[in-house]
Amino acid sequence: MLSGVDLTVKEGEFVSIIGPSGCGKSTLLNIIAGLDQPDSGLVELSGNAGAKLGQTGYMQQKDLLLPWRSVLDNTILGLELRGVPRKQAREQAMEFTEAFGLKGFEHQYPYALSGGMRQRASFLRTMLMGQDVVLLDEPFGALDALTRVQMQEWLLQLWESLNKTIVLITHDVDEALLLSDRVYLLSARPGRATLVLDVELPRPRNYYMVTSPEFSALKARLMEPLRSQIQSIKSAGQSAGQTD
Amino acid sequence: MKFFTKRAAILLSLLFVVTMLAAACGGDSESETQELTQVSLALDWFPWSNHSGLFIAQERGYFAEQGLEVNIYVPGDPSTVLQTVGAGRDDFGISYQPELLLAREQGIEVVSIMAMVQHPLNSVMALKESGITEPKDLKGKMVGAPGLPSDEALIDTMLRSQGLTIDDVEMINVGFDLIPALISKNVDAIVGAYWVHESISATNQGFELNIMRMEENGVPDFYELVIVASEDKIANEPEIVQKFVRAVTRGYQDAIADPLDAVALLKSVKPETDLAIENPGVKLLAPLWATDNGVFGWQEQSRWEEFADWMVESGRLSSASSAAAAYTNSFVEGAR
Amino acid sequence: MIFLKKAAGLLTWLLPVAILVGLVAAWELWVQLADVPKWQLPAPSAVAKELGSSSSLLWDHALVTLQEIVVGFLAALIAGLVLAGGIAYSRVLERSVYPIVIASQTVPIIAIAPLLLIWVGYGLTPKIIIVALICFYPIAVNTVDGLKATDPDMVNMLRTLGASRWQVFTKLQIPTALPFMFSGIKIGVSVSVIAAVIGEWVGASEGLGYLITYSQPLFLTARVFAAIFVLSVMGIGLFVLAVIAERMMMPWHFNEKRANSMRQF
Repeated sequence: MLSGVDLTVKEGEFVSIIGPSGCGKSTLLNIIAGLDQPDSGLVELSGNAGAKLGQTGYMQQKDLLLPWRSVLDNTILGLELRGVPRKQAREQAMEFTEAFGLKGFEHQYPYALSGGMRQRASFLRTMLMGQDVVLLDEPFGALDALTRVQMQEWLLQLWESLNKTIVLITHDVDEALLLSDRVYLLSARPGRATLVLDVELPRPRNYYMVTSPEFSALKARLMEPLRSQIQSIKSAGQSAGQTD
Repeated sequence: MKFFTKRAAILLSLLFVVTMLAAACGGDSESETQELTQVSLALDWFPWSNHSGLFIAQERGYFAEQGLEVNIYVPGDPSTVLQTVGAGRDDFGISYQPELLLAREQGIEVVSIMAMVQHPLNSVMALKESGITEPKDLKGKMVGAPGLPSDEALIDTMLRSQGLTIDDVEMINVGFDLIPALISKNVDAIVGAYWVHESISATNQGFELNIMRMEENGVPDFYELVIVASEDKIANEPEIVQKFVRAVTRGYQDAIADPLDAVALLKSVKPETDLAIENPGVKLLAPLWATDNGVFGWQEQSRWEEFADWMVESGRLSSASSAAAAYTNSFVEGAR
Repeated sequence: MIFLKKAAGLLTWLLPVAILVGLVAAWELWVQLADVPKWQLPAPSAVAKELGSSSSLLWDHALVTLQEIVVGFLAALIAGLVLAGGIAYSRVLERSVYPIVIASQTVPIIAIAPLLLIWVGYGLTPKIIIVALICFYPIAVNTVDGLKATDPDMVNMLRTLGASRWQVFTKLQIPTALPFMFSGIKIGVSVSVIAAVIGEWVGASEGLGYLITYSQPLFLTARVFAAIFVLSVMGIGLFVLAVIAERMMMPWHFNEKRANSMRQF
């Protein structure tokens, strides 16, 4: 599926990967996280070769909160697995509930929360693990457009205060450009990085930048190859009788 | 939707054809038996040597001669025979003297039309090695029983004849597997097994038994098994009852004349019959089929009245007044 | 609006009760009008009278049967859960044990029961074994399904958090399996009553099943029905207990369902 992806991320950077469905974006993250093994090539994290489970934070599109645990107990799940006593873990998590917009909802069950809140809880769970590298697989894909904007701004602020290295997968071009220092465009079948775009927009960023001319120019540079890829997939799909 | 109805149509027509074929094939045997009256006889237990006369009557055409076709079957629950006969669902049934009296008291209008066995078969048994030869030897011992009310009253009377009561023994409900319980020494003695049948399976396996007969130990002599019919049937269809009794009598006369041959016929009709038990058993049973003057099915009034009195004394029956009406010899007489 | 809602709530209770009362009334009428003999089908009034006059007899025997059910069911619960856990955790166990579990249910209890009496003796033990044998199966099978119903994405999520196989089992598989387990428990509870009666059928000196077998040859059909009534009440009571336990152990499950159904308005 993937053939030859060269991804380099410097400490503290925010990198996005964008591409049509089926190009292997999730597989790439799985490999970095240690869930899948690559057939060839290697992963190096902070100078250490090989990707082991638990070295990177990984947040998936679904919030995957355990329905039988309260929100607070969900956020401390990773710490519990490491053996941290519950009381201590809860205290740790409580320090962040306000920053993550969950204040007052700590003892509710996940079903009572909105989609955006659930994603933030899932985020907190990942953050509490304290890993330097965090992988995000379309974290805002399931949210409505307005909530998504809220979450993007919140993520920007969080990243700026926590200083993590983030690799984000998204299909939203605006999101990729708004959040990242660099955008990788992956092609489909086989997955290859066809374009690496440095996003030279000033930080700190805000949502108003989306309408600026610099932003539009960057977007245009992304849209061209993206559209041609989608076209080639469409025609390939039609000739092969498949749907993506 | 169209596809569904097409399928349904094919299925329905297939069903139609099959039903027509079945009716056509079944039709032949139906027309044959138009002339014979169908009656049902519910047995008391699985077919054993005591039923051989019935199967003789069926196989040798005695029922057919009388214009009857009899469905002889084993009911799922033998305790319901009196109820099914009383309710008209069965024409005839095999049941027991005490149960018949109880049923009549509860309003089930059934009558005994023939006695199948002239004396009790139910008995108390113990292994010879246990040294238990008389009821008084049972004091403090464990007695296995099938858990039916009759057996408790019977053994109580046997114990009373020697100065004990049922409280002097420990009664254990072992279900119907009486001999296995005795042989495995889970109990010291058993009641509820027939000395002409179950006992044989024990002796066949090399275990010798001491048998205590009921009528020798204080219980009034009674008819172990009787054939019953409802009062309705006797009143409204006495010819059918008479024909039935006539055919059965002939069948048992054959059996009495040659018991081993009777068992051989039973085996041919019911292959699951165990000859190792039935052959020795029928030799013990055959003398009990008819009265001393050779009449099969005859019932004495004194037997019915004394037994009813005993049931009242042992608290199982409220009144013995209907004892005389519980049986009739008229059909046995008519068959002679 | 509130009044209508309250009236609607009352109606959902009233309707089934009315239907039940109607059926009983029809039964009473039929027996009276068709003059059905009491040994064939007793009238509800006769059964009610019997319940009153034989109440202490029924109570004593009911306690014995209840004992068999409770102990047998607890044994079934432990056995079922342990088996299910083993089968779900280990492939080897699944391939060797699961077929035996299924085969255990094809053996007719009526055939085994007399043998049990000879092997184990008389008294409560064989009945408890029969209850356990019949009830452990739905618990085991449903719990296995529940343990296997884990969301693979959740498993991956836990793995990225560094969970070991055992941690995945205890923190994800077991809680996921709870609703399934309770389905199995509810089924097991429902058949436990019949199981106890079957056990008593084949050789008992006490219990409601024994009382029924004893009363039938005496043609005391009203007593038989009274005993059956008590058995039904027992069965329903046990089922309600299981539902209460379910609600208490899975509060999120039912609050979520209620929240979702309310959102539909």
